[in-house]
Amino acid sequence: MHEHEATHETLRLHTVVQTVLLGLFGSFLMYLKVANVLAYYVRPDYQMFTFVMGGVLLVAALINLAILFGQRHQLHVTISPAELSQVFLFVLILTLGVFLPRRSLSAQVAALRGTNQNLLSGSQLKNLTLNDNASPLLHTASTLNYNIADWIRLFSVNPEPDNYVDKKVNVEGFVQSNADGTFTVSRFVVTCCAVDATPIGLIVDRGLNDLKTDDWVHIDGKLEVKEINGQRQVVVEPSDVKKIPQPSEPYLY
Amino acid sequence: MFSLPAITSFFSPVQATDYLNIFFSILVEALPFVTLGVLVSGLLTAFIKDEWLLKIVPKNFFGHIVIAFLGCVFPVCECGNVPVARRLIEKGLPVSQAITFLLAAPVVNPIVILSTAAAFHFAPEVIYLRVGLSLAIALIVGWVVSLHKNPASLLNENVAAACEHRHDLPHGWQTKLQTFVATIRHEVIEMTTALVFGATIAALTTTLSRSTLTSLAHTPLLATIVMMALALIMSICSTVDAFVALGYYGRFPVSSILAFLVFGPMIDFRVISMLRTTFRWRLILMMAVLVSEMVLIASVGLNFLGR
Repeated sequence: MHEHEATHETLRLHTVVQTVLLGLFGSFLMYLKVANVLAYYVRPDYQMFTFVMGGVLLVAALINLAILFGQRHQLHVTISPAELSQVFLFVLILTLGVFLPRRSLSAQVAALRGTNQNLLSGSQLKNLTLNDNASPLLHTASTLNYNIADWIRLFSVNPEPDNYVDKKVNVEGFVQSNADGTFTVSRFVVTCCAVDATPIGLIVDRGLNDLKTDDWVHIDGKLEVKEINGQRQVVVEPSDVKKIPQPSEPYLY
Repeated sequence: MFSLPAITSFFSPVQATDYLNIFFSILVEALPFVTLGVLVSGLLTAFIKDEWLLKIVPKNFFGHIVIAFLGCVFPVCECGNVPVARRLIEKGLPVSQAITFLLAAPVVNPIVILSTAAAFHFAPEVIYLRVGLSLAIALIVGWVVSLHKNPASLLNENVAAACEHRHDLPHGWQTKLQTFVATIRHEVIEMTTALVFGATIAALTTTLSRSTLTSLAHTPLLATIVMMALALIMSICSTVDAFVALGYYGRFPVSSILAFLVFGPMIDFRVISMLRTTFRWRLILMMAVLVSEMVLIASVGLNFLGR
């Protein structure tokens, strides 16, 4: 079969290298969890599973190494070009994975995927029950703890803009510039992993001024109704716009 | 679909980071499932006798039905199933039955059925139709492959060679453990290599304009094709794809959402590159064509029935 290392005389260098890589991949998954950056790649309820499976890989690698060096082998320092390029590929990927800047997907991706100012459907509505539909805001003493996804969920089930006039807004997101000079404060909603990240956002009725695309901002203000391209839309009248660092959990779920 | 600004600005640092973020999200999401599949494969190698397996699964069409439900015992998603299927073939399972397993198991298993039910609790027909259609297509494709005169010629060289001789179980717990961990090492490295290539392609395409893609979906037929293309590109695990499909509920016909849910677990960029570790391109292409045709026909049919 493919296992050459089981014979008692020789141990190929590539077998040892593969085992080390196996351990490194396991450690990589565990590192992402420990460094608290898994949120950039997968949704929260996958994180423990990812960590545990990383542990399985690491343990398998350690047992492998123990067995390999426990037997009296002669090390054969041969490695084929194909094997060598595989090793390089994996080392490159692991290095990138460790040193990659932890950053939310950018406004460019949001533009490509189409930021939605007033619609979320399906799973993204999961937190709302039918009872909330009737008059969602009446139940809530304050809208100050609503994030952008909460707002968009409300708009989707109760689209009449007049319902939202003068409601207080307190949200964080990244800046996307609009054609008319205003900007949209956006977030990505993630279902499974960054692959399916869907951008959503609230239009802010103010010029960009010193803000740049992809800046993270904290916005206080209240909601107003404004006619944009012939459509009545809910927009934010900001009272305070502050630049902030990117939050450690950039995606909403 | 390939909008020009996206390509010209691709190599800016921002775009490169986006690409890598998506690449790693595919890799990091799939790797634990690959590990789970390889664990099962390792257990099969070290602890399950070839004869036991062949006793449970008859070689005839009834065997295909048994194997289609094997996912209930090994509940792993599509990328975890490839090492399991390969091990089953090496242990003497016919290639055609392994294909039925590969196509059925990602949907016909408790975890995926529960997650689909959770996502579509308000539309139970989506759950039944997803499981029913996946089973039917898996059985038909498996049956078609079983008609092949020389199934060993459909296998990758290494796998075909490994099938040549019978495997005796390793004796003693130490040798068993050694076989188990060696299998894990060997297969994780091999599957991860395939996964990396799949993720490289899938990540490239997800940075392209999606709104253009969805705006193409004017008719139910186009909507089905668009949803199948999305499934092919996004390469999401079957355990969570129902929640992603739900995002299109209401905007897309139910028939096209079903096409996404049935097609995605069977064929996507990630799976295709992993299948190459076991099968020849000829078989992979045949599977892809057969599955696409049947999903398309089923989806259009459902549409006629008013779904």
